[in-house]
Amino acid sequence: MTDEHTDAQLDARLRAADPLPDLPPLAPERLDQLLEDTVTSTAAPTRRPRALLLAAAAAAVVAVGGGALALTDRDGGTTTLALAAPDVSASCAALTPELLAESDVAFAGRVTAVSGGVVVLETVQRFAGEVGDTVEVTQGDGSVVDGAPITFEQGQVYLLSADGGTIGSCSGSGPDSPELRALFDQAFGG
Amino acid sequence: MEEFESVARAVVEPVRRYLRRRTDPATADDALGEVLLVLWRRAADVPADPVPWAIGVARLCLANAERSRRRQHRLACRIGPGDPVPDPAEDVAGALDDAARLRAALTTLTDADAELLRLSAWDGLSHGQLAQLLGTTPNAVAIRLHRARGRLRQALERRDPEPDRTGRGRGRA
Repeated sequence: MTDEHTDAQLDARLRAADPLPDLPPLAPERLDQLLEDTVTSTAAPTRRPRALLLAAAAAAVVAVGGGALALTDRDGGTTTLALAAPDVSASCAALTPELLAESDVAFAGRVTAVSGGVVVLETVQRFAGEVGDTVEVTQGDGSVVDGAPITFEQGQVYLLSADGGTIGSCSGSGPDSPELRALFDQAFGG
Repeated sequence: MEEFESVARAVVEPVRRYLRRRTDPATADDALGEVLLVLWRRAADVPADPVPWAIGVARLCLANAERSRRRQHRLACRIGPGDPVPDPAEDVAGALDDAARLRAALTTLTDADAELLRLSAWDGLSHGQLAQLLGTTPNAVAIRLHRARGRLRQALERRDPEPDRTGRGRGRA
């Protein structure tokens, strides 16, 4: 059985299972249009000002590898979150206030204790959702652990957002900074 | 500007195919637009081989889209129970062909294992490209792939103990 299933054979079977073996490429005109739209959309007046774009980029960088925070439990005054595996990519789409505003939970917390893979934060500001007075973040299981997860430091304030108990790498969490705070203010109406 | 164009043209098909393999055409189109926008804004960050980088961006755009979708789904759950929507492409009258069997086995693996196998076999990323995407070394990728294949084999045997005849199995049962 295993002899039959050499790696090459398994790969061939996998390739045969490609759900999309023959997607025709984009028509050249369609591609030209797409590229033109991309370049012109950033110049359109509805776009955010450049300073905010930079802020968004900074926030996105902060969030890179931040992984997923899983909201596992809420018990009285304590909200428990798990810091799951970071995303496998070190690239990130620019974070927008609109994206951030979709978070179920957003808050600012100061790290009061870090021990045994558990980070305890004291909630200093609530932006969205129900957040306890203290929040516990635990390191979750990760199968692919790549990129740098958020490193929590004692005494430091972090802006954290979670959606449905999960925060992806691009959903805006990181150390408190004017840039990230501006995004939070904009997303959650200050 | 010309640089963006040449990079965009180099990545657009791999990214488009990556997205279309994983989501519906409309979501894929939206995500492709977002990826190009990121590419345009962050031209300075694009590495020498832009394909893994762009696929990395596409992964995140897709994750964001899926999160919105889950949110809508949760909302729907609050409003009332809905029937799970069966995937019409799979398991027609129990007649799973080998491709469907493989895809079903993939879903039983961890996301990380399954995605690594898909990225390798479907998206055709080399070990070097996977290493760039995953922020690791080609050796580590080779090891992970080896393990993921092992787990896929186990999953296939669990689900389908009878030996597969041809290894391709496009036949209708």
